[in-house]
Amino acid sequence: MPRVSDEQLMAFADGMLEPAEAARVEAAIAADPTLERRLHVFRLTGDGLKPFYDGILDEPVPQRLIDAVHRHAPAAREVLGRGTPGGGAVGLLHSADDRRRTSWTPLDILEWLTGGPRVAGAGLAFASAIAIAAAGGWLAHDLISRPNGIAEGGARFAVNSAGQPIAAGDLAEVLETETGGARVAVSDGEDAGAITPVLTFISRAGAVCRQFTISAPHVVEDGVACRDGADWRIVARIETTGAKAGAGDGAIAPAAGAESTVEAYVSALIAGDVLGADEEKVLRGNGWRVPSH
Amino acid sequence: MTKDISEQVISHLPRLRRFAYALTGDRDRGDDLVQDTIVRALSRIEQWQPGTRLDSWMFKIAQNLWYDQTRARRVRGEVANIDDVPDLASSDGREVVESRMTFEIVSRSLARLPEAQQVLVSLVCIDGLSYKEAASQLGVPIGTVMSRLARARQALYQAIEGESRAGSSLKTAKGE
Repeated sequence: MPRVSDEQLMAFADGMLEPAEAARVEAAIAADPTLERRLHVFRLTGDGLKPFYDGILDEPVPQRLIDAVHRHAPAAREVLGRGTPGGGAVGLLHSADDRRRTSWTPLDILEWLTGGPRVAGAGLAFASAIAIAAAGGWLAHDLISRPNGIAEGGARFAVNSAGQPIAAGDLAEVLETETGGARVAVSDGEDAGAITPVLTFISRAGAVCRQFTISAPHVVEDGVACRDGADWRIVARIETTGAKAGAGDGAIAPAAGAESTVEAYVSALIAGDVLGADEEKVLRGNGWRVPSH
Repeated sequence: MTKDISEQVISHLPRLRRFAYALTGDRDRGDDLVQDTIVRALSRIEQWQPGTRLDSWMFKIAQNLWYDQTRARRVRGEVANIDDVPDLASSDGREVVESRMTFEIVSRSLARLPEAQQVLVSLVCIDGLSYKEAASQLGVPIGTVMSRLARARQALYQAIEGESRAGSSLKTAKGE
């Protein structure tokens, strides 16, 4: 009879074994009554302990602890997810003033995305991206200068507590779940349309970013969203409407200007190559965070 | 949503309280530990790496504070030593049954373990971490977590056995 180790018995008691190994251990226990006694040790100290401690989860947290949090929280500071080009993440703290700020310039967003001007060799790309952004009209401004809550575009865009634009509704869902660049049909009120996650890349600062296109009969939007915590933060958004969009067969194509602006933006931000569908799936499985190491 | 850091911390407090309750065996002392953890965490929040788990980071702070406290109390002779617990070989072979376990028995037994074992048992058996998660939390290989956890639980079982016996002989002495 093969020896059964304490670790195996423990993992068996905890339900942590693969079915095949669990069956093997179970058979060994059936054949050897002394194993039953050894197993009892792990049963009693596993599931047997939790009931004694779980009750506290349902109790209200004492006010003194809540007060301690508020008293010691860095006054209304907001921690933003931010990676460094070296791969290690660092915390970026914004002061209370920043938090109340409603106007985020393209430069702010670029700095957030790229880890700031420290990134060697990115200066030129910044400059051109900013120039293009300025020429193309920066719509993120419109979006985020609104009060907290749902911004324009129905429930597709919102702002986070720091006043920054984020994806919401079906856009957030598509960015979160779809891989492979497929068009996803969506219904925007009475208008049928589609959202396409065009491509996915890693920014110089180590954030996962996705270029997207929202096409509807009367409007096409191109944009880039980058993962920030659990949100997709909108870092570029260009809307093309009506005649300028050149409506032809219903679903209009993005105007060349808008597309190239977004593409220039992507080139300024991207580190490495555009990711393949398999890599997108891996990232999706990891909550759209770049696996560390 | 990028939630305010205070909200994020508050959302982890129930689990943190349970962890501290398991370590200290006492609600008030547990909440003191949680309060110290909150102060320590928020005063050095810039050391937390966004994108990593805030709860794991806070648990680690609580764990280190607990080590510091226990060490201090051990030096002052306030902490029972594991050597006081009879080993399995000297036990009378009676099995501990769950129905005889009380919170007092469990918490006194847990308190008899060395603090590293207390933490491990609390993380896996009470907080419900997988072996893999515990390995990552403690920065040791999963095989090490499993062998240490198995030893810790055997020691805990012996302590529970000892405590239940002490409990029943106490009852006998009181004439029950």
